[in-house]
Amino acid sequence: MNEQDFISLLQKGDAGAFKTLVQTWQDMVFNTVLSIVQDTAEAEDIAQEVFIQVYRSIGSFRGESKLSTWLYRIAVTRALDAQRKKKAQKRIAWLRPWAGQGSREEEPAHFHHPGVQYDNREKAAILFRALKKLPDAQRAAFVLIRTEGLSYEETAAVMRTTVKAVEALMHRAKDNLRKQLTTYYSSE
Amino acid sequence: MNNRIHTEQEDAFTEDILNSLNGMKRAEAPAFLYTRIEGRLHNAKTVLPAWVSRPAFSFAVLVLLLIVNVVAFTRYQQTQSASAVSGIQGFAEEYSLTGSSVFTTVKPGTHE
Repeated sequence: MNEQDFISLLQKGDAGAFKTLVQTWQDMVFNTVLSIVQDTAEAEDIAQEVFIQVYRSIGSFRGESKLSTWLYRIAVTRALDAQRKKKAQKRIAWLRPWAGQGSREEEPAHFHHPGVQYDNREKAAILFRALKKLPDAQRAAFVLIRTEGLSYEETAAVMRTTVKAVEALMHRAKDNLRKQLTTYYSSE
Repeated sequence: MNNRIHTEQEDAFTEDILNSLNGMKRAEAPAFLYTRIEGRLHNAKTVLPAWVSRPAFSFAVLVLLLIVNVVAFTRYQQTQSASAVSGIQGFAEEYSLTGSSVFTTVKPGTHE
């Protein structure tokens, strides 16, 4: 079955097609979201929301891009939105004890991505920590290319931009990460 | 010399960290993800339609509530003043304070 036929089935509300969609793309969606939010429980929750959004909006999907590109786009947007909300909550976290909503949440310990080679776990944890401080677009490009292994062309399609823009984003992302890591090295 | 060694070590550390994702595998989604999505979709069927949560709808409801409140308040005011007038009249009638008073001029030739 080609992709267009599969999309037609999804648009007709075929439950079997939706199950196939989830089972085919769940790892891809989960890995992308996890690499951005760096929290397994939250990543699972967002991955579910991504597929629910796909189920609801498949009718408006016109097939201008590949299905996988569309899924990546939704996953990245959802994950970055969740991060933004979390940051906003952290900004007003000092008000929580006064509002009687418990104490401040502690910053989680190092995040260990389950797919990273064992020898590199500690180094990758430092990198993921630095990754959190990158601007959204740079982080999205870095995650798609380095953790999902997308090409610059595929990343440009997901981010609705040009290959040159993705190249520039990656260049700036690496520069910013180097600066952060140098500071980390000096402080250690 | 010392500075150069330090910078080289720093660069090596940075590159080492940046290359730490080489050869990484994709994280696997938790088991039963589809079942959970199915459950959420089933539960969500009872949720209100999306247009209810739109700001335009909330604003319209707010304006409507305001209008209803203003109308209700105005009518209440009118009823209050009307009942106040009828209360005074009732009191006056009961004690025969209506009609002529000591200040009322009595026409000559009429006897009350």
